[in-house]
Amino acid sequence: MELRLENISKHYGSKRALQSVSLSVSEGIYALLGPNGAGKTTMMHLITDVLTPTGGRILYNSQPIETLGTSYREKIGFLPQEPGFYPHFSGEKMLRYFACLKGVSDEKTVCEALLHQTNLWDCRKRKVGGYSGGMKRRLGIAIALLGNPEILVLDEPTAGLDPKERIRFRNLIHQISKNRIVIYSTHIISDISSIADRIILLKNGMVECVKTPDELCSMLSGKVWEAIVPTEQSDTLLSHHCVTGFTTKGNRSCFRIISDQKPVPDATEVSANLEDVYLYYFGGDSHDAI
Amino acid sequence: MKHFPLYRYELSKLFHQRFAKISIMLALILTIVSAVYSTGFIYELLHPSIISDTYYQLPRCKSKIFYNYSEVYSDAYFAKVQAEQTRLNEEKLNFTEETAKQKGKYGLTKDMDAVLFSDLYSQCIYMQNCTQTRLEITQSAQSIIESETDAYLLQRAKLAEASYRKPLYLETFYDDGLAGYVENYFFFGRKSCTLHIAVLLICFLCAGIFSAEHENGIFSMLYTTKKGRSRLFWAKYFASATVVVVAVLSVQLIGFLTYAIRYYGIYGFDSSLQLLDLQMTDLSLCPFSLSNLQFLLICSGMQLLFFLLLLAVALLASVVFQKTVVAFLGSALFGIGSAELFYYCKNNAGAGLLQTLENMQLMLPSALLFPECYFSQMNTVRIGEYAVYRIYILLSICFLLLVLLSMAAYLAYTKALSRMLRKRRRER
Repeated sequence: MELRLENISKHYGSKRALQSVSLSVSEGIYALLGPNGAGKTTMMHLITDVLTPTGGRILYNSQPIETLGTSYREKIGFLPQEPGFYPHFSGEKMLRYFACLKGVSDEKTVCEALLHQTNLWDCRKRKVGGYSGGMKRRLGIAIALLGNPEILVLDEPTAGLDPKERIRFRNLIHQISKNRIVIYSTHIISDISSIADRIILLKNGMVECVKTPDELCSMLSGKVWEAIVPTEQSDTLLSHHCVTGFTTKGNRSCFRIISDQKPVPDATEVSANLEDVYLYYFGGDSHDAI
Repeated sequence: MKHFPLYRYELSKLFHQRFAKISIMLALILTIVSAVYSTGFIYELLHPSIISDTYYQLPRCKSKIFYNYSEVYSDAYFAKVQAEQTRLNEEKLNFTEETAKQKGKYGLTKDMDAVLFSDLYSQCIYMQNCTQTRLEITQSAQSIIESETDAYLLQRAKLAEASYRKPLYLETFYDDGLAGYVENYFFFGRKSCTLHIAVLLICFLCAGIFSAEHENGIFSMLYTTKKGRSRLFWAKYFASATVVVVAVLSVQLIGFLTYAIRYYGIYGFDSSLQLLDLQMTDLSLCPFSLSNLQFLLICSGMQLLFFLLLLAVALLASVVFQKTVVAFLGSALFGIGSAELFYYCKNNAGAGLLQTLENMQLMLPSALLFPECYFSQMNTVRIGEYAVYRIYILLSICFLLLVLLSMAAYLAYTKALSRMLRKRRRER
């Protein structure tokens, strides 16, 4: 099971959303990380064949997806960034409608199992218009899972969910990720730090790197520092260094800083996490992240 | 339905939305009000207290005509007039003033004129002259082969004679082209707002069928499913076509029930179309052998074809623009605008662009809304050696347009064309 992007580019008029992206993914969870406008959604739309690339091609098991057509689409489960539903349909009807569209045989049994799995069984008869954000996301993932797809593409699935729903959702993704390719785009780094097998860093329409979380963190070895300084020095540190976090206790503040050199004499080196990696790579573009 | 689950879902989506239910109810109420109003309007217009000439009065006039037919236009009367005709022919004399008055009094149709008073009937003379001199019969200076003309004349005479022996319930009267039973098929006519109601209802229900998927963010989920392209497109297409058929037939049925049945009963549909007498469209010259019922059904079918064309425009706009408002406005403009353009050109064509438009029949699709024009005379075009009726050309072009628009919408939705072109470019 291999999905390969070969020299993919996508232009919207003069705007270049993706430029010469080459990538190969196989079974496992791939987190797609990048600031707004990096081209994450475009890449997902290209993978799901919603958009056609301006250049390059996408291959699934060495076959171009445009020639595979229907047989490729039946292997895909897609949850877009803001999934829409028919508000007058009940949750169950919505699921069965998609089961029909995906050509799922024995749709009744499959839908019932998915409603149980996504914890929507009790509210299956309720109109989708009355569902909460979390319930809609769960319904979205149930739809994406219909037909047991080999490729699961999830575009910011946890956006707007409360922490409890986010954790539940993360666990669900982890459960269902066996024997399939899961491509998961998010801004919330804590969602992927524990479940992602590999992280794809996307910046200005180009892939920066594809590595495991540990590999990425180790790349920042010797570049992440913790410094405790008097509160009055805070402004100087904030303006001169990339600060990923700070806490204040009395008149002293503890800063977490990314820097090639020791930022202050008393700073101690600490191990990097994915948030540090994100800020290191995306720097000033990433104000909306984390 | 069981075998077309997607179609069933699409129908359910179209009808189960609250705004759809409200708009359908509103449209039906408006249609009934409009139909009743039109009836009242025409009734009032032709009421005996307003019009002194009994010939134009409704509905009393109808029963009077029927009575006259059964009592006065007996075989004996027919024989008497024919004898007088023969005598006049022999004596090379014209009808007396008294006979002419009688003709008016009894409200003879033009077909009866053609049979009973053929020498006086100018159009018949015109046609005969055309036959003798091998000239055209159409209004627009196009010729028609002689044998066809002869056959036509013979057929018309036979039809008129045959129809003469049938009840005349369905004979119509007019004021400014609007009256009588023909109002049923003519119901989408200018003075009735039912045309606009039907156009707006169809555009309202169908304009969002594709664009709404983009607007509510479900498109990409649908588009990545196995049946989310070709099959889903056709399911949506046929579901919306069902809406169109139901809406158009409902409006026509309401028109029929509120007007035709109310005033003219349910008899006489088998009488000849040539007896249906309209001022603006002289059906007595219609070359087709049709009963009133057949004519009514054909006209309804032609109107339905227009509304299917309207649907195709709405769907194409919905796919291309991905905005319901744009698709609604575009298709409503096409529906109402083309009908208005048709009327405007027809009534105001004198010279210049309007004349050109009328001559070129650029408003072809909207001509489907007023199909009686195409039955009114031997309206032909010469193609090589053959004289082809314009109605066949109209229908062919409109069917072709329907297919082209539908295929354009299909290709735009599935992006099949752009994919194919891209594949070819890559192969090159």
